[in-house]
Amino acid sequence: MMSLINPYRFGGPPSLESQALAIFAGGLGAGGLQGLMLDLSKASSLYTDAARTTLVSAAGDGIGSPSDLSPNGNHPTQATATARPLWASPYANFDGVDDSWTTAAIDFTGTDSVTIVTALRKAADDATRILYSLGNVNTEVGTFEIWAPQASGFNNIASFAKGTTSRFVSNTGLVSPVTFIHTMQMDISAPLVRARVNGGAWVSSALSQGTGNLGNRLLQISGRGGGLMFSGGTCRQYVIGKILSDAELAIVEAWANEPVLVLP
Amino acid sequence: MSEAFRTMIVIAAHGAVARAVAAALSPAGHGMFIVGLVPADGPADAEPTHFISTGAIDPQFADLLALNDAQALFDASVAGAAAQGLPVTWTVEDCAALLATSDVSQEQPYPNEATSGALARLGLQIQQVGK
Repeated sequence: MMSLINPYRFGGPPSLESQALAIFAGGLGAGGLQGLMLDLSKASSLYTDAARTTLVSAAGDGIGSPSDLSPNGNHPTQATATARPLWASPYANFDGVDDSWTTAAIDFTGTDSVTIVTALRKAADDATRILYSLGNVNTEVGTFEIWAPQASGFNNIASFAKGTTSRFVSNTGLVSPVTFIHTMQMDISAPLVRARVNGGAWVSSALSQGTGNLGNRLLQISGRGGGLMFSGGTCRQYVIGKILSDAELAIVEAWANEPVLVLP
Repeated sequence: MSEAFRTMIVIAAHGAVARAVAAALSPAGHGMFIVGLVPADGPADAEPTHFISTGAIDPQFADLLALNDAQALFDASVAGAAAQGLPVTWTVEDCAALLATSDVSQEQPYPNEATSGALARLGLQIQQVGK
């Protein structure tokens, strides 16, 4: 006899997407968390134009604005037609020349912590290329960046965290082209910056990042300003203003993995 | 797919005209031709010799470029500028020079299975600035 309290009686367990989304609510009774959640594998959440009026319909369409699935509405946009990543399911493909998106300013000033999980395909190791930039880690405080790769021939992905002092860790041995799930966490006051690939061992740094919280800044996906553009594809992207627990990370990494199936 | 893929490379001397004409042709043309290129066999942080824009563009824009007709490009860009309230700072002669010295192709900028890529064909690399 079916239990009246069977939580799955309305169609099975919650999807990974809904579980990953629920984390933004911050748990029972808690306030919401800043960040964004992008699914580039589904055309139904992607618009060809920055004004978000026309949905992507076919491979090769430019993505002018993917939808932030989180409650924050931090939809990234790209107004210039030729600078829009092209859709090639399950990826948004960045050409390494001028393709990028930028959000409106995201107010991370209430936290000094962030977790970023990305399903990506890195296509080139020929030069410094930036996947995420909340600001220049060389010159601005309260920032983070992920460089993929860090420099020509480095075959790595480097995760930078900065309060008033910049620190980074590097996941190496990632010779392009390579597809993987990358996870980065930072906590300025701990201090901690760590990153892992495909749910493996963390590479960590506990060196001081100085002081302060993160900033209220634009988040650029691919490049910083008009240069250092990422070359490759992103499939699912999750940025949240907290250190996710192991249980939460398992959910988000599994969600990121669904279209690419690279987790062991 | 409703858009056309093109890689467009203009010489640095015509960068300002290219930017102005592209912006006039469409609101989605604002911000084109801002990525600098330098010779592949030289330092990556040198002054740009060319500018590039590559990606999906309106098919009407692609058709206009295929005409290789300076007067048609000038007329369309002037009409677009008027529609957007932009000043016209270029001439039909500028359009002719732009078309004569630009490289427009359906190639990807980088090598793939089908092509060596527009950058390799022209001996150029992306300018690296601001690391």
